Amino acid sequence: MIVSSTRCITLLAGALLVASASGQSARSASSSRTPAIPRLADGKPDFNGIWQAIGGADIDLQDHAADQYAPGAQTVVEEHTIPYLPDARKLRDQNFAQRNSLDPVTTKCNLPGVPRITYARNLPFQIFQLPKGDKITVLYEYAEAHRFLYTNGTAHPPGHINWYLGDSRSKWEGDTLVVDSIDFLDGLWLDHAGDTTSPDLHVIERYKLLDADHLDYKVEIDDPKVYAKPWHIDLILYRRKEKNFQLLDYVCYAFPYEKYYP
Amino acid sequence: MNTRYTHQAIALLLGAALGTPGLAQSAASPAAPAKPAAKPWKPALLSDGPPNVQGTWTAVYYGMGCLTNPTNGDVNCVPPPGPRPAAGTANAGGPPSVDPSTGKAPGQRGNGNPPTIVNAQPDGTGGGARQRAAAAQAGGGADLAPGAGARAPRAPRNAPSRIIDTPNYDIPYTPEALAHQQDLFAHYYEFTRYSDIDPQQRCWPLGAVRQFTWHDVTIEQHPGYVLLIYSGAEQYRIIYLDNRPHIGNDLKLWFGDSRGHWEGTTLVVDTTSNNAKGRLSRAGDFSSDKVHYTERFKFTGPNTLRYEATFDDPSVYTRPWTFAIDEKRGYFGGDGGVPTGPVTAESQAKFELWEEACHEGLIPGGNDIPGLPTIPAEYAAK
Repeated sequence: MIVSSTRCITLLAGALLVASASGQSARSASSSRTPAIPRLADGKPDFNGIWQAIGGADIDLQDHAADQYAPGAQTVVEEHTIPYLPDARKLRDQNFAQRNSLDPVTTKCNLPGVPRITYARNLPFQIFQLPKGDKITVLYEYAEAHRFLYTNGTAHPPGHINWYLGDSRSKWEGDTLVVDSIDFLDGLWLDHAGDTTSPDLHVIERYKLLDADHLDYKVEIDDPKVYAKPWHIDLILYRRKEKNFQLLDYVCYAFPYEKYYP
Repeated sequence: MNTRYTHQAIALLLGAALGTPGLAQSAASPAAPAKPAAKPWKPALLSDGPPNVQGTWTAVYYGMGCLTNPTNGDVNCVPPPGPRPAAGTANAGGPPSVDPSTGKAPGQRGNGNPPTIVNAQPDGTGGGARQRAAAAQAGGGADLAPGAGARAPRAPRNAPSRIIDTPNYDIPYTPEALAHQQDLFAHYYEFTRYSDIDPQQRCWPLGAVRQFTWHDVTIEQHPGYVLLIYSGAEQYRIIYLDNRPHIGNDLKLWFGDSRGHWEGTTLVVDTTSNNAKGRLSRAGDFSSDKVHYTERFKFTGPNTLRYEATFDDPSVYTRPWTFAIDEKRGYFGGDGGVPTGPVTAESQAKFELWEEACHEGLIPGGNDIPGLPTIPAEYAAK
C-alpha cells in the first residue's frame, strides 16, 4: 500500500469542503468565471465526500413515463437512444417485458456492474482519495460494494476476468478523472429496463467537478457484440451535505431472511 | 519453492524466536509465561498524527467454527461423546458425531483453550486456510504440517480460545441464551428453519467482530476515517475518527456504527447499533442487537496486531467478556493480484485486493431448507 506523506493539507482541504463549500464558490465567483473546485495537496481535484445520483437512470436510462413504481424521467443517453444491434435489441425488449422477475439487481441484489453501481437505487457512495495515492477507493452503500480506481499507471491484468464491477485503471486528463474498465461478466443490466451487455463491455467513465458540490459523470459505453457504436451517458452526481450524513448499509440479499436473525 | 513463502517462513521463525509475537503480546492470563518488556514500537506516523498501519492483515489463528478452539476445523468445540476436557488441556475437536436416533449433532461445549495452550499451531505464514491451500498448490509449504496439502484431510489443531477473560475461556451466556446457542448449534448440519443457516453460508456481512475471523482485511487510513475492506466477500466497514455523535441506536447496521480515536498505537473504537445478524461463529454463538462493543486495535509492532473487543449485552451474557484475535501482516491475500518475486515493500505495494463477489455465486438452492420455500412466504407476499 502506498502511503502519502502529505496528508495534513488533505485534511485542511476536507475541512474547507465541509465547512465552507459555499464560501469557496462565492470567493471564486468574484475572481473567475469558472467556479473554484477543491483540490488536494497534489493539485488534483478533490473528490472526497459522499455523492449521489437523483435521477431516473436506474429505472431506465432512456425516456420513460411515470408508473406505479417510479417517477418518469428524461433520457440520460447523449445520443437519446441506445444504438442496439438488432439481436441485442430483441434481447433488451425481452428483458424489459420480464424486468420485474429478471433484473439481477432488484431480484437478486447482485453487484450491478459499471456504471450502474453509480446510480443503482440512487444510493449514496463515498469517494476516498489521497494526494499522490496509488488509487481512489469508492465505497457504495449498495450491498457493501467497493471499487478501487487505480491511478498508479498500472495496466489491466491479463484477462479476460469475469467480474461484476470489472477492472478499473484510471488517469487524469486535466481535471477529469478518466476510469477505464473492462473484465465484466456476461449479462449485466445497465438499468431496470433490461439494457444489457456482454463480456466485451468496455466502459470509460469521466468524473469532473463542476463546482465543489457537483460532479459531472460522463460515461462511454462500448460493446461491439451489443451496440452498433459506442454511446454515452451524462448525468450529475450531487454532494450530500446534511450534517453528520454518513453511509448506512443496503444489504438487499439479506432482506428475505434477515428477520430470522440473530 | 515460492520465494514469498521462504520470506514469510523466515519472518515466522524470527517471530517464534522472539517469543511468538502474536501470542506473547496477547498474554492476558496470569498463567502466561513472564517475558522481558518488549522495546516500545515506534511506528511511522501519518502527517496528521496517527500511526501508519495501512496494509493487509490476516489472522494468526484462522477459523470461525468454534470460538473456544478456533482452528479445530469444525463447529464442534470438543469431540463428542466423552467428558469435557479439563481447563488448560488440549481441546481439539473433530467432525461432530451425529446421533443416529435424532439425526442431530449433540450441542456440546467445552472449556475454552487458555491463551497458554500448548502445541498450538499457527496458520501458515501466508494466512488462513485458503492461503495454505494456495501454498501447497504453488509447490511451497515449508510451513505446512507433514502430509498437509490441498487434498489432505484437515487435522484437528489447537489454538487459544477467542474468549480471554472468563474463568473457562468460554462465553458467559445466560441459561436462556445458552439454550438458544445450543439449539442453533444442533441444527448446523440438520437445518430445519431459515435461521439455522449460518450467516457466513449466506455470504452475509459477519459484523464488526466476526468478520475478523474470515479471511483478510485491508486497512486504509484517510483523514478522519479508518477503512476496513475485507477479503472473502464484498464487505467493508468505516470507522469515523471525527468525533461525530453516534447514529440513533434504534437504527441497526450490519457492521454497527463505529467511532474511533487513537491512544498511542491503539485504535479504540466504540461500536453501537449492531444488528448482530452475522452472529459470532458457525456454532451458533450470538449476541442480541443490544450488544455494545468496545474494540481495541492494538498495533504492537510493525507486523503485529492484537484485536480485542469487549461485549456488553446483559440480555444475553451474565457479564461483559472480551473477544481477542491476533493478526499479522499478510503478504498474500485475496484471490488474485499476488505479486510475483520476492516480498519487499515495493512488491507488497503491488498487491491488489480483487473482487470477491460471494452471494452472487451461491449454489442455487444450496441454502434451501427442506420443506420450506426458498423465499419465505411472508416475504414473497409483501
